[in-house]
Amino acid sequence: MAEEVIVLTGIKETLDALKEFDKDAVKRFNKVINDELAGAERDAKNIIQDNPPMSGWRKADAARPRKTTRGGAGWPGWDAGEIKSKITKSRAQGKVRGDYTTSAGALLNKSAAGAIFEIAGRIASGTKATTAQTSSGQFLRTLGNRFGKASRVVWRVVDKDRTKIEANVARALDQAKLELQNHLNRERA
Amino acid sequence: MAVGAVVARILTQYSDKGSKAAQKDINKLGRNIDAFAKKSARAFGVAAAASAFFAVKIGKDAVDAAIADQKSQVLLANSLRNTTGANDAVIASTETYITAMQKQFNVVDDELRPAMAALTAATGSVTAAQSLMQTALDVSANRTVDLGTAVNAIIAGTRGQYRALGKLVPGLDSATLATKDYGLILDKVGKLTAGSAAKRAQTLEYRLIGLKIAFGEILETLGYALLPVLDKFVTVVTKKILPALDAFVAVNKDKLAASFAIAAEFAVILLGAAVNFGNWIANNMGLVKGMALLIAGMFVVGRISAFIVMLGALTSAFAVLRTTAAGAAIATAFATGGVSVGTAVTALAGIAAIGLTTKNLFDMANGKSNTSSTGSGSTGKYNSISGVLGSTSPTSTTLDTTNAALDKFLAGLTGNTKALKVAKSMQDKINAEAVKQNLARQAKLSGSSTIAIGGGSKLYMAQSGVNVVVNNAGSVVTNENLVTSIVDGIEKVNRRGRYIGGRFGETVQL
Repeated sequence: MAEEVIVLTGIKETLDALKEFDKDAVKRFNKVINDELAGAERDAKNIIQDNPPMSGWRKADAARPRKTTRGGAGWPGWDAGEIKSKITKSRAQGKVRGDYTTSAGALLNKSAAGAIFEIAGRIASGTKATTAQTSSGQFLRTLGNRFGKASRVVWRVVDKDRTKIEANVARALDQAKLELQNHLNRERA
Repeated sequence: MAVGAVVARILTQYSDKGSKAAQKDINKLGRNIDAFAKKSARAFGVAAAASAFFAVKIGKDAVDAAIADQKSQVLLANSLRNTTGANDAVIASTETYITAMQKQFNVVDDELRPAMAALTAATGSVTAAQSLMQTALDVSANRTVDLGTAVNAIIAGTRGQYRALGKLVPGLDSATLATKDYGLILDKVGKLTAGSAAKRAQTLEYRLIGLKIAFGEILETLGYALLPVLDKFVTVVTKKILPALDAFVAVNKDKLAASFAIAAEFAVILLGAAVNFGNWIANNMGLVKGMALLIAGMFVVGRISAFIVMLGALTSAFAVLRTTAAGAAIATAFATGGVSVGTAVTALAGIAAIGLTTKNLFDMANGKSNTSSTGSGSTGKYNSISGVLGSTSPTSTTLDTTNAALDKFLAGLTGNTKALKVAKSMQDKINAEAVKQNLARQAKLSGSSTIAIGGGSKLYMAQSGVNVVVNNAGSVVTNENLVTSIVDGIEKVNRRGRYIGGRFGETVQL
């Protein structure tokens, strides 16, 4: 995951003010964000393949699940359609962090199978990857060997495209601020 | 946003929600201080008095905080002695420990001390209590409950009652609780909640609490410095002032009651008059500021002692003023005035003089005689203001009549003030009074009550009619000095070629 991010300031204020003068300018700005997020969403969905990552991973939830296997109870089936449909974009602000920031755009991976595929084997800071010779350990190793380290879907896209997306949105925001300033100048004149 | 989903934030925006809340708190604090300052200023009317009163407010808060802190410390020390037989060194080290915990976890010491006392009582050991205190703080932070609740649950555990702890820490499984091994249970609790208090201390909320605690500590430190002064004050009040007051009240209770009645009625009149007091204040700003400073000084040094002493001063002031012009009394107050309690009392006698002036003006406004005619003896039986004012008294007439009386009063007051200004400025009066005080002091030093220059009933003066002024302030220490100074002064006049009658030396009698 990226360590540094650009914090955009004044999105809400700019749009609220700009709405009074030029609704089309607001729409143009929103379109930039939505397009960037849609592109990221599309890329994330393309990562999901139709076949399960491993042969033992059922395509549907088990009819008579056992507790101890990946086909057992609580282990979600690999339904590519559902996983893709539950990869979505969001512009909800969510909770404000301690550093006074919140989301202005995010990708969500909401399905259970998609979440497992996304983060299985993620190592907490300061810990080591498991070397256990158990089925769980084997599952993580195989998944890592085939699809790379954890953060395999939405986070992979975000890490890859964030800089580009941030730059595009920041440029659009600057443009919106400029348009707002022009309107204010005209109003003052 | 979806719950349980993997959320990858792409765009991050600044939100002023948290900073707005912090700013709101800071503004609120500022508004409270402003409001207090405004109220103080309104109460006294001048900024000097407001700042003095603000100093009193800080001093009062500091002393209150120190008293509360001292009480809390004494209770904990007593508890430690009773439960563990702790000596002074252990008690001191416990205080140090509590101070450290307060700073580290931003939890106020007034919460920590009762918790420590309870844990020590339950375990019988200061060391064990300190260990459990850390766990209690972590549980309190982790489950967002107050420290007392966490401590109670832990203490219940020491008695073999684990239910409260189980409910408080959900991660504590029933298997662990079933072992009834309290060491194991505490170990598990410790693992589940470790570091919570430290994490909580780093949040904005608790850092702000930390600031508040730090400010409270400063106040307590200031308060501890003031406590010995207060202690002395209490001793003086208990041993000297109260017995003296008892004796004073026993002897003067009737006069005192009458004085209170008069003072209260003056206060009512003055308060009513103050509503339309603008002109008078404008004409006498120096006087008002001076009085405000004196009153502020009294509040700072000790309003209670001043009030008690003032009772006696007021009584004598009323008696003196019966035979003295009110303006001269005010001048005396200022000529001898300062900001100490003693001189402030003198100045308050001046305030009493204003009260009498007010009464006089009412009398004049209603065609009655002046104050000297209302007195009934030099030792002082005070006439009630109601009796003096008759039907115009604001305590016994309708509002219209009162307003009319107030109008007359204000008119009289304004006229009187203007007349005073034309005749002599207040500063001149004060200077004159200071000279008079000096002469009185010289007379006292000379050992005789009066100094006559001349023979028989004749007093010798310069031909121009100017008095021979002998400025001896500060230089006269003996009778000889005084005589020499006077003779030198007369010689000086003679050398100017003005014969003042008779041979000097023969005419000077002491």
